[in-house]
Amino acid sequence: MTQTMVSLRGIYKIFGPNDKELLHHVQNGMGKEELMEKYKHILALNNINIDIQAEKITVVMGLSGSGKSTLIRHLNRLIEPTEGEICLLGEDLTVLSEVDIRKTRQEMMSMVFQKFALLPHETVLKNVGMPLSVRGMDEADCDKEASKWIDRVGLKGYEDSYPWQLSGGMQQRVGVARALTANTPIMLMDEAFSALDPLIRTDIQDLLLELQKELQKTIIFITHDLDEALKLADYLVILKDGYVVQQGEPQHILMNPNDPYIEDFVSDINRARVLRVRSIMAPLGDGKLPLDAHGEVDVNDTLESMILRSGGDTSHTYVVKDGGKTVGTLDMNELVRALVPRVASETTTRQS
Amino acid sequence: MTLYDKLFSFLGLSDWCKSENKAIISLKDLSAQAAGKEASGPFFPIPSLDNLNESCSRVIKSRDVTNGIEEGFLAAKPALKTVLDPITQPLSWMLDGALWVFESTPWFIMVPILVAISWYASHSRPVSIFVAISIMLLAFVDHYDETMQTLSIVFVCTTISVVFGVPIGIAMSNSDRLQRSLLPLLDLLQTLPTFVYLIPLIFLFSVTESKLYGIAIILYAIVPVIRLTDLGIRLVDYEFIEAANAFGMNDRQKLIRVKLPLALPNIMAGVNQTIMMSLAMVVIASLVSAPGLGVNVLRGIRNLELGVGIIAGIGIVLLAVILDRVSKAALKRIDKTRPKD
Amino acid sequence: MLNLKLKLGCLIAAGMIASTAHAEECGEVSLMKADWGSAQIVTAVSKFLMEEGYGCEVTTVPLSTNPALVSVSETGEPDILTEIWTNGAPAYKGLLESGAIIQVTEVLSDGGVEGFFVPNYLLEKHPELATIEGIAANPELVGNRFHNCPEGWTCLNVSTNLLKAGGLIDAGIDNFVHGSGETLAASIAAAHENKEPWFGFYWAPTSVLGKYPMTLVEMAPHDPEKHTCNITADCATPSMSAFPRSVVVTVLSKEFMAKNSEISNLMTNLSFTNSQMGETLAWVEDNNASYDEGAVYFLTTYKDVWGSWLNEAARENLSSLLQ
Repeated sequence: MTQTMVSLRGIYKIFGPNDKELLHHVQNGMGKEELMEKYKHILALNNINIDIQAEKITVVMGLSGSGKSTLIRHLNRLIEPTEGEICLLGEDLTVLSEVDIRKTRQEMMSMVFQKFALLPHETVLKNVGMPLSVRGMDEADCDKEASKWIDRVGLKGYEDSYPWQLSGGMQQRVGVARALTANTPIMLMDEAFSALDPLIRTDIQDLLLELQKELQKTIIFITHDLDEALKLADYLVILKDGYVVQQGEPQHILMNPNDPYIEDFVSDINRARVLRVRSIMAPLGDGKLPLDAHGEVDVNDTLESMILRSGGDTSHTYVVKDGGKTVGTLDMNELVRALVPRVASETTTRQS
Repeated sequence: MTLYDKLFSFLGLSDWCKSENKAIISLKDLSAQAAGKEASGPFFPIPSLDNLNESCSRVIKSRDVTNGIEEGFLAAKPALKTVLDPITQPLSWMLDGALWVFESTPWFIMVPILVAISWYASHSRPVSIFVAISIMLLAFVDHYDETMQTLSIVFVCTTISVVFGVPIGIAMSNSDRLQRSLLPLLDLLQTLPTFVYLIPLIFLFSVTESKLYGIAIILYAIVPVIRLTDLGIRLVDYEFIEAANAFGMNDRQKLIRVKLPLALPNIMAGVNQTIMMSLAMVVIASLVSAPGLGVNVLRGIRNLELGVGIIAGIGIVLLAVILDRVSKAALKRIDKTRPKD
Repeated sequence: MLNLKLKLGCLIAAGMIASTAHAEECGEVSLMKADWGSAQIVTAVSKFLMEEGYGCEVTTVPLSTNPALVSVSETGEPDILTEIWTNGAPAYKGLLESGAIIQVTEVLSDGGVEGFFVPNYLLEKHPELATIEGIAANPELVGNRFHNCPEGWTCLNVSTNLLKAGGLIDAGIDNFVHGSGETLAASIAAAHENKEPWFGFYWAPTSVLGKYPMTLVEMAPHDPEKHTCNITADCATPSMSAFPRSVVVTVLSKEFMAKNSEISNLMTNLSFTNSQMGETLAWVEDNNASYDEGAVYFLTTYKDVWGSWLNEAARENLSSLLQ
């Protein structure tokens, strides 16, 4: 049973001295360009409503200027919203005092940064132990905990090195270890892997997924890379110019884009590799199984593996199982149709 | 006859202008008298108080303005003294105490201590050797006592400048408003000729107290360390502040763990500048009875003893170089943010 | 035709040259201008008389004693050093003997008075402080401190030795060496403001002593031999000997002496008594006047005095003032 960890409700953010006064213009429909032209204010976030599920990876995606960096910083109130609520397990963070929000940051949220943000004058061990020492834990305990996580991210032996002695990939692992040492239920990752080389990036993405399997943190991940988003996301939010274009399960978005923008966005991906059986299977309606099923497939198999399995024969049908349970059927013709990028149809088009 | 004479008579003020004060004749008037004619001057001189006074004796002269300032200051002096004297007394004690320590410690203990301090600070053999040679060189030409006196003054004044300057710089970095109001004051302290603020200081504090020259030096030398602390902290990359905030650091933790260590290169540059400026003030301080190498420089100037002045001057330069090298080497050693090469 | 024009031209030119030659009679004169009160008065009075009476082109050069002596011996400039206090000029005797400079008169005819002073208000309360012995017996009454001359002045060594000889150092009096003449004067002013004790070196005639009346402390009379030892810092037997009357002179460069006899005569005659100078300086203080205005005061008050310094022609030029 998935639980909502953080809820963003009606978040608006305008940058400029008169943000509160100009809010009603935006609420009445003024757009980003008009606000800039008329009032020299920047509209960064426009009526954001997102529910972030516990223990899942939510990826917020968008191009530059979409507001994603601003959005993630609202979650721990590094940036204050012009209007709106940020509810953490039901409690509105926007009304908390300085002292309380600091406590919340210490205990509930950790962060990993694009440019690593490691303190250059402290060793890896001290950097990783920082969240605990901020909370007042004594040095020996901090070091012990930190060592554990340094080892876990594969940097054993580097405890006494300084950040400038490490490569980019290693530094970001330190950043991840630091966030993990904080032992918070929520982890915010601001384009955490964008500064790394592609091969290193793949490694560290795999590390994250592996850790997630074990730790099941609520992760909010920001990126502009669609491949990364699709690899990591349990839930995907696509932002453009400060508003949410579409949000949902990645598979669902691929199959049902609601906006020409989304179509464009996803047009280049390898659909066969990304789409899963569960997105195109026919659910088991009246309990009747096809008699000529060629075999059983798992609900999470990729279409690519299905094509390989079927040898390209579109006449096959398969029974789809989830664990031991039969949940539906897969028609290879449907699979082939799913390979073609979807166009926003009348029913799915976003009502703006 | 100037324009102003005509102006005052036009305004009908001629009678009012004739005041009771007996006019003081100027040399110009006297030479005109000698030649048997009226003092001539331009018809339209600049409208200054003195020129207006020529036409109308009721207008005060500029010297009355300067006298007024002096009277005002003298009137405020007792009140200022009761406030400032107790606050600044510790400075006198520190300067006198340091002077006593530096002067009475025998050289065979003092010089090794100084070399040891420079070694501890810089961990650089060339610098420590240079310190030893420089001091012994000055001692060789019988300038050891003066060198120690100057060193003790610079030591005390720099310490106080840093102890007060760094917190002021930190406060400035936290508040734009404070920075805006303090910056003009700092500019004033650095550009106002030191003699100008020496004058009120001489009025306020007794010349026989060491705090007089102590305050003069500190007012001049404290400015770089304040400026560079403020600048250094403001220049700390925002990404570090953001990370500190994200993990819930409070202001004190941020200051001690993030801002100050990252601002340290700039702060040390400020300390280095403060030391140099203290040394620059040595000769002026000697004008108000500070002991040390400055006294010899002044003697050289007064008696036109070229050699005396030059040797003392070289001594000051040597001290400056020593202190500069040691503080720079100390900076390199504690700056962990730079890769060691 | 051309011949006539040429002759006329030559005549005019000759006439012009002759007239300028007449005006060149006095010519350019450079005067030393020191920054203390009496020197400023002397320089201002001299300048005025030279310009108005003799038609000279006078420039003043700001200089203090020792640099002025060095300058005139090396370069012959300035032409006239208006007020040299010979006690404070170790180079003076040598230059005089070499003939580079010529002493024409004692410009302060009574000579300068140097010595140890205590304020009058202090003396009124404690008459025993009038002598060295009295001070040695009651050091706390003078504030346990002696305000000495700055480093580089001759009086520093002399005063220090006198303090030793008079038993004042032993009595616990702190020999405080001032950093500059200005702070020495400032300490006198500060003490008078608060009627605090003060005891130190000073000299007359000066505006300071004009404004803050002080009395000379009695000492054993001047002994040249003892004084010669006292001048040196390492005098083996410092002994009590009052400061000699300071000879204050006007000095001319030998070139100027040869060149301009009229002005040389003027400067030979130009001299002030201590009471004249003291009165003038006191007037300056009382009226917050500048030293130039003080010169005017002197010129208007002591007409009979300076009238006799001038030659016939100058007296005529300044007849309106001598009325």
